[in-house]
Amino acid sequence: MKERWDEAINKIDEKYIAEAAETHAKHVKKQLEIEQFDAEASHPTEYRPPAEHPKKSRKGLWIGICSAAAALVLCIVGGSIMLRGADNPLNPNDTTDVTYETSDTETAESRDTIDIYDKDGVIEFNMTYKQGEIKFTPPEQVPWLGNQGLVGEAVDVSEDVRNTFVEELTGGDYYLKGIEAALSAKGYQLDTEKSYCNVSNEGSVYGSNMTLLYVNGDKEIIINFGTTDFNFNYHFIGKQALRLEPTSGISRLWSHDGNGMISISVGGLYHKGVPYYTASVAGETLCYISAKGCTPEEVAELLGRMVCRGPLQETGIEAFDIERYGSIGVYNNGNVAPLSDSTIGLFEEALYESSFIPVYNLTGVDYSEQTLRLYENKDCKGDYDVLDIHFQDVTGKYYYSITADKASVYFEISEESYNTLSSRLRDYAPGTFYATILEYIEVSVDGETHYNYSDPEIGNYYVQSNAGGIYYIHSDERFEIGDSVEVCYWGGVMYSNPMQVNLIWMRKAYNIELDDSVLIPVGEKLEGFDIDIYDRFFFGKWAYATNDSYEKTIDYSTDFYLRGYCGRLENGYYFARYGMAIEESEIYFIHTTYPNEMYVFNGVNFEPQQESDTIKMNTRQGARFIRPNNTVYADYRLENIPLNKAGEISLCNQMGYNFDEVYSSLFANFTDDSGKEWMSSLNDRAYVREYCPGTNRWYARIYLRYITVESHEHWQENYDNNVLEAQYFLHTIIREGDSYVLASSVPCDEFGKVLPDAQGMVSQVEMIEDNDSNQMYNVYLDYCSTPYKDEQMISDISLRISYPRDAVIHTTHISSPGMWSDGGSHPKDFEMRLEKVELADGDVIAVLHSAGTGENRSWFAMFYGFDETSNLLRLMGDGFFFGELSSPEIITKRGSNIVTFPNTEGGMESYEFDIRSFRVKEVEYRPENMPEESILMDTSRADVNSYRSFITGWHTCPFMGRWADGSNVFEISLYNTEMFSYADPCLGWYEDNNGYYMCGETRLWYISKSDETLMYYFEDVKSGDRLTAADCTKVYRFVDQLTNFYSDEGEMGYIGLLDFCYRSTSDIPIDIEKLFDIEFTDENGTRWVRTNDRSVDWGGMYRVAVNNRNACMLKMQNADAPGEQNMKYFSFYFTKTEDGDLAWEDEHYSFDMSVAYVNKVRSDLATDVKALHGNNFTIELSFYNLPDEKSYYAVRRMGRSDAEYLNEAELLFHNDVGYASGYNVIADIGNAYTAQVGNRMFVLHSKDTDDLVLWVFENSAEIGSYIIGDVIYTEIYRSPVTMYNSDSHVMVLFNDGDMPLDLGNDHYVICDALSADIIPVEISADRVTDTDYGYSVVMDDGSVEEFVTAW
Amino acid sequence: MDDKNIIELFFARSEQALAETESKYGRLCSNIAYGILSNCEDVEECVSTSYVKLWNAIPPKRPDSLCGYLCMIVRNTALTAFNRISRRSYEEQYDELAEVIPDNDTVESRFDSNQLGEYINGYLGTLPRKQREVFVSRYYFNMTICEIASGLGLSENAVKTRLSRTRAGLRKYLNERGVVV
Repeated sequence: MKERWDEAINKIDEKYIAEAAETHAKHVKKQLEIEQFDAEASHPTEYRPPAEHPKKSRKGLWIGICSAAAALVLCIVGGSIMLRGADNPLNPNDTTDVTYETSDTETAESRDTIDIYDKDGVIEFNMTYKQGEIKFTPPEQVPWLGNQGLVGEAVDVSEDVRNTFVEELTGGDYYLKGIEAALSAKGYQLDTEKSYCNVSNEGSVYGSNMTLLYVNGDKEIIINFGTTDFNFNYHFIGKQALRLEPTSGISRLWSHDGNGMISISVGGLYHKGVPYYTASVAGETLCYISAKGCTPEEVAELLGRMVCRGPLQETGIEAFDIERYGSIGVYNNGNVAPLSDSTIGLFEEALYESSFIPVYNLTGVDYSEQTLRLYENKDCKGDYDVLDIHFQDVTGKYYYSITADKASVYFEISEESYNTLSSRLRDYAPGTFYATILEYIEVSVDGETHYNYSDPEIGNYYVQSNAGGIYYIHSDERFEIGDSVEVCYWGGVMYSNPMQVNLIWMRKAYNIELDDSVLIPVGEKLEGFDIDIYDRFFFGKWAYATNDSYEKTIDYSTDFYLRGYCGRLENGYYFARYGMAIEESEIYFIHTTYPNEMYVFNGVNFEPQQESDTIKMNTRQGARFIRPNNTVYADYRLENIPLNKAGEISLCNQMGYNFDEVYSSLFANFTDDSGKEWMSSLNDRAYVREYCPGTNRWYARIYLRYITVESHEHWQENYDNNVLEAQYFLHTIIREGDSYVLASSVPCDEFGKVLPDAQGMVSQVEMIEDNDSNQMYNVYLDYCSTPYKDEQMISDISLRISYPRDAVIHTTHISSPGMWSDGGSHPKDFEMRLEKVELADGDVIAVLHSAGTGENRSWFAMFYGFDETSNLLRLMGDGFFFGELSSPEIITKRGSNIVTFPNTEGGMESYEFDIRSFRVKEVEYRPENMPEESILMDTSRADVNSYRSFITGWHTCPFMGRWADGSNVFEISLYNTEMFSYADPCLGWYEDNNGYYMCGETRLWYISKSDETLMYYFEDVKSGDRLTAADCTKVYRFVDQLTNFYSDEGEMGYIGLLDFCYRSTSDIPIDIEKLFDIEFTDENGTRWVRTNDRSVDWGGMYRVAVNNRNACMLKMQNADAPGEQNMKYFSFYFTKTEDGDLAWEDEHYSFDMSVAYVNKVRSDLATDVKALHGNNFTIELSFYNLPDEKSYYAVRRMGRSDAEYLNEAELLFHNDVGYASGYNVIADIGNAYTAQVGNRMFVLHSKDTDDLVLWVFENSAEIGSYIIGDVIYTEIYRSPVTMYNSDSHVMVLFNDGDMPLDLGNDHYVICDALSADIIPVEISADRVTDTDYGYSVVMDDGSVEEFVTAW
Repeated sequence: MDDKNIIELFFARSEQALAETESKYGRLCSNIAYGILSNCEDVEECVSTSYVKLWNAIPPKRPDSLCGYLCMIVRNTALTAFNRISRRSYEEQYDELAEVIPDNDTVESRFDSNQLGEYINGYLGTLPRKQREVFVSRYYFNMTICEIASGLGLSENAVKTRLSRTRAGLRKYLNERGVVV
């Protein structure tokens, strides 16, 4: 049993292990930093514990480890290394030492014994293995081993091996022959003499299974044996190692008919992130599902649903087979045919009713790991997508299928094509294969078929599938059944889900650059957003720009990628979620099958915001959304879309257009204003963009590459020499009714961006109304071209920006197109934006535009207020021009009319607006870095970068905030309590480049890194606030390095190692500085004065306030002989007088600096204890290294109630155990193992590991000790939990065992604390009830006493 | 260096991966190993061995959490070493368990480690994170109460109380599922 417990503990979910490990890792890291800091500081008064102090000894250990690691590295460098236990690192039962070299001629020898448990008990199952040979020796007494089911996971070790598997496994032969053959092909030998490969019908009701898992790419073979009571893997790594990996699994639910017609299923069901593997047996009507990490109930539920229903079982002619590559097909007498809708519907229903969502792992490899790795190995460059559906059926025929919305197109292909296809797909390269069309399916979505697609450029046809990407078929005619066509893999299917929410990753093909588009078919209507995210995948490459500059391109091959989820909503509709992710931070977009709707969310939560029309503007790439009829639904290239409000763009409405129609009607040729004739370059068609400003007219913007050629004839044959000029043009199209009108054509760059490095001047801003009476603003800008080159002014270029409906630049007129003909060298980063600036007296509109490039880039701003008399926006400041700004950040101070923005000198400047008079005055100009009055934290500007820094700060968890849905506002979420610590789950303490933040629900503490002596405290912080120092409620000053702080009002707190303890003492505000000014003369006539040392770690100042009485501890020095040798700790008590002065009491205690280590001063940190106990506090002093070389410990506990708080007992006793093995007695005594009743102090003390003593002190004098281990229970002293006390009794809580995990009983020992004789007595557990603060105990006389602990 | 980059170093077979791992997690690993082995020399060997195992495991393994994965390796390596070093002591600890864990011979109490592990995970899933961390720290990483308290920012008493109540909760949880404890 003990092994099972051990194994059970070993099976604690890795994520739980990780979270605990990471928490401790942070703590350890911080500890290390502090120790290093201590060491560097060489604090003169620092006391270092003796040698047996574990920290010190571990430091030695640390050095040793470093040395060991260095040695290890040296070994590796040396080319050979002896590896111990290198097989399965996570297997604690693996006592195998595998020794091999790192060369290709590795050898491995090992032996292991595995205990197998069957239903009748333990049967030993021996297995030996060594290099090149695997020998299984199953015990004869395990006949049921012959009844294995078989399921395969993942793809092949190699093609031949896999084919062998396929042949053997699907050919009706016993599967072990397949294994044998496969292993032989790999150089293994499988001893099957005593074969349990007799796949017969001898199985018991429990069944058993054998799972063949073989993994592509890693040279791994995993064979999994599972029966009712055991389940483990044999894991081959190459030829040299065998990994024994016990696995969890539910094997008892497996069974099969033994015909051996077992198909290999690499698909899986993912439910809540847990893979569920599938297997099926041809000829059998059941679908077998196994699961890792799945409870029996879950599997039974699913199996039950699968088994009991449907035509699968009723007809007996359809075998429900989930193919190894993921498509759903039905075998009917060996012929493949698509599943009927009813069958699939049944399948769907069964799955969904049981909350299982099938996901097919098309890569055939471990989805969560392998896919990602493939992705990363390919540097996210878009050519990693390998997903296809090709398979071999039970008859040996090869098929290629494209799964469409509710059915599939199947091609029968040759074996050669199959192999080619397999190979090609593995290599992630486009390719061609030949297929005979068996059948094509018209896929209907909303009544529109879209099974093929005519490409006007090439004149051939595509098969387009929502699920399967785009497959190009070389054929002049639409394909028909029976046609033999050449099929080219054109689009990579990133993810295929028979339930059909698919994102299709377009990739480069035929020189058509489609690498940045995401196609999302739009399907059915959606209501409700009960989103079940069941898995995720990765696709795409995106770049992004920072909020600040919009010019930073992240290397998306390394640190930026797109990943998303598909899922099904509760109401049966589907959604696709995808987002940009930078490390852990993500921005999400949700696209649903709701007609023509897209929902975009920024942040980590999924609360939908219907009709949301914003996208976080931290991307440069866009997404294209195409409806099933190939109508461009929306196309976004975010980098080029001007913002309507910092970082947002508008998405268009539903109005679509047919690109082909537009293209053919408008852009076959094009003549610009200068008369130059352009012709479209067919191979350089660029993106289509569409903007809908919300009027009855709509605009589409398409940019294409055009060329001028020397000769129109034969230019294609001599393309390079014939093309005189190439240029992208951005066309703005207006659709009026059914006709298209070309409104303008503007040269643009390859990204569709208009305008070179022109510097614009706003010439006019007017307010208009659309047909819906929505107010909009048209902004006209005049531009001068290339001011850095020839200073040529082009004054008649106007852009119109409609705000706020679309925030899109509409180029309305360009009179000097020649300015664009400088060879396309225009910078690409011109931006313009409008922002509504909310001031105290109203709003103004800011028009910002960039100028210059790179380091020379700057921003100019003009502000407009609304003039009701003219119904126009009027320029603020009588032409006042704001600039140059280093960024388009407009910062407003809450409740003011002041606008602040960064200038190019690295400083800030502020202006006050009078929107009534349209006047502006400068109120502040700071040419240098962040002034005190500048922004401390702008919660609305928390962009991805800072977001990232938030979560990689000191304490990554708990997380303090979140992205507000649908916006870029970073919401503050704080733990709303006066006092909290790191342990509190909602507290955030993090840092970024600017400072440190501690957050509560609506409160924020901020420490700027530019001045770490101050801490700003803000109240009523809400989402979107922009906080300045002037907004802060209070300022705290640190007396030391980010540790102790206080306010002018006398509030104090400290920032501990991992906690932030803030204690309001507003009832007794004092001048903290006066604490440091104390001087006094002790009874010996020595005059003591403060030191300059306010440090905390080794003394310094502590202060605890209890009502009006305060205690503090100060490090003081002899005024007549100052210096380290003449310092002491003194504790004082004082009250605050009405005039604010401090009245020091005579009572004080001193502690010798040479021996005292102030362990801690604690008040009642826990609010629950505080509520019950009133205000207690304790000063703990640990004394080390006294002349007798023993450790001492003292506890001064003060305060028992609000009324009488100095009923104190001082305790000084020695602890001669020190840091021996076992519990840290000192620490334990200082914490949980003390209790106080009246003037008696009770201490649990372990003199050694065999005795547990309850010491009783009265007024610091020991009055008795009791070995309660002997008295009560001989074993219980192993694990005392804690000590509690009531007003008259003391209770010790024991658990009879602790390590390893012991669920033994708790024991409660109480004693009358006030009696003359202390007699510990164990009471029954049923007399003890948990309370929020401790325990409630029914006493012998029937009364109930509340036991609590002050700790 | 963040974990992702460290893992990439492993994949690149760069020895720097070990140095970075050690720099970042060496001390934590030592703490974990020390909690099991209580011997500096053994700890040193254990941690070194763990690095080797990590080196061999990555690639192909790409752990979601390098820290967690490494800690699992260290812990298991330490347990293996502990078994080898002090089997007797380990047996004694198990003897304690014998009083409270099911009798394997009775049908009613039969359950395997897989189920038990699932139950434990299921139970852990019901706990607040902090409480779960306490449990895992104690019973998986074998940390001392003091270490847990320090690492999680709790008082030692809080740790003990949480452990006690977590155990009680687990007992109840298992009993409800037919596991007689």
